[in-house]
Amino acid sequence: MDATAFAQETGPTITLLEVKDSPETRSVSFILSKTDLATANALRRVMIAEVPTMAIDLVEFESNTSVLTDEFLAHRLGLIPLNSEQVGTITYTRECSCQQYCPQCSVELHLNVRCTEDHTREVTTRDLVSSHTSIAPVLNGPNDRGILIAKLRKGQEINLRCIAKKGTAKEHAKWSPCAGVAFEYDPHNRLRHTTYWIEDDVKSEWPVSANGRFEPEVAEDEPFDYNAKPEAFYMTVEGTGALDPKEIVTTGLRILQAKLSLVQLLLKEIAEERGAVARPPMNGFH
Amino acid sequence: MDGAPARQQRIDVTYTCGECGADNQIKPREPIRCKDCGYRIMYKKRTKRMVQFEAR
Amino acid sequence: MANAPPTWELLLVPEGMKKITMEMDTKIPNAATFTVLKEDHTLGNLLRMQLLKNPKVIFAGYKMPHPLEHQFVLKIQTTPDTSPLDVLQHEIANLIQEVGTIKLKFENALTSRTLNPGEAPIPMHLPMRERRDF
Repeated sequence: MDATAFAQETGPTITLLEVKDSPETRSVSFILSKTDLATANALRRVMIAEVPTMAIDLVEFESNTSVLTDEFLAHRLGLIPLNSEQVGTITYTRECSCQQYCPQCSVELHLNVRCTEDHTREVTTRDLVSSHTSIAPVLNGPNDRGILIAKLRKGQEINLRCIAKKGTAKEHAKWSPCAGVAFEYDPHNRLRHTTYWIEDDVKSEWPVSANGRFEPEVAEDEPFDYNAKPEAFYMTVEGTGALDPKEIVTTGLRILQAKLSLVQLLLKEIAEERGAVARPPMNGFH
Repeated sequence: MDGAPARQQRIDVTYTCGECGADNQIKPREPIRCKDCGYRIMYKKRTKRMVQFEAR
Repeated sequence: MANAPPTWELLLVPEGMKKITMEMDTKIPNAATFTVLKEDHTLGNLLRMQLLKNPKVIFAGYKMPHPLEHQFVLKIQTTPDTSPLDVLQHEIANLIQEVGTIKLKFENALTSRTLNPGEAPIPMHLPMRERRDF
């Protein structure tokens, strides 16, 4: 029998398909099965929008003589993915005991570039200097030149100070750790959840997705099973580099659990309140 | 925003000439003209105050 | 952008307001409406789907009254032998367990993968004749 964990147990199962860890792609693909659509979708939503990362949120300009306006540069800086492995050690600025921002709830980055040569000076994320050892722009190895921020001509300079803070994509998309989350179920359309736009013939015009190999094909004479529900979900999580995709999935699941636990706690409080009102006093007869 | 118009008469502002790029001290109500090349279009310099933007 | 509400309004429950409030239905027996603040379809759909699996639940539905207000409303009606609150608490406990199991299985799958690298998983839920040659 199979030694792997997912062989025999009941309840939801995870089948790991692929983990890509190269500098070009960071992704993890898996099949989530024996659970329902709402759970899989909740996981997808949480991974995209509620997993916290670090991103630049405030930019102070000392000088900017580039062709890009201040707010344009600030917007670009905000979208730069910062390595957020240690985001767990940072608190949210709104929850921090400090007044404005401090090293406990924020990370300072500096960008100071002046073009002194005759050729164009490209300002990239490599020029950003962080005050934190790990929370700095993501780089794929020593040969990565970094993401282009601006280009400078001779005599132009950019001198600014950035404050990076912890946040989630619910507040602004720059904080999303995911580059994309692929989500598919029922590759052969056995559930008839979709209708194909066709000219002549479905089979020739619509190629079966790669996930079709995991499910048996539909026979021509197979009757429609109206009781079937979506059960296997083929997901691929691709990260921006801010967090490892495996980390994104585990943190997403943990956050989903935390949400449910919070609701559970608050419902218990409501139950106790109700109980105190509805229940008659313990002493005496009625 | 500052609310102190009384100061306007005494401060000298340096403007940059549009053609030669030289700095010109122009006093209020003085005719606008570059001292070096006589160009009549001046640009104000960027503020010394620190500006802050939300990176959104 | 002057009219945009502050972005943290999506996340934080304001002072004096409760995250979850329950209102018993006056006209329908064994029915209650829960209002959950600062949450969206992620929780709403999840709770609703789970409640519908419970045979004691007669009615379960959720909606977001307005897209600009970050809250949802969950309406539950049950059979007389239980109450909406009880059934909701029961199902949330099930959900927490389910999500915990998924997390555990995922972590196990990761560790067992690193122990046997280069092994492509064979789809186990298909009968023998359907499994392709991997």
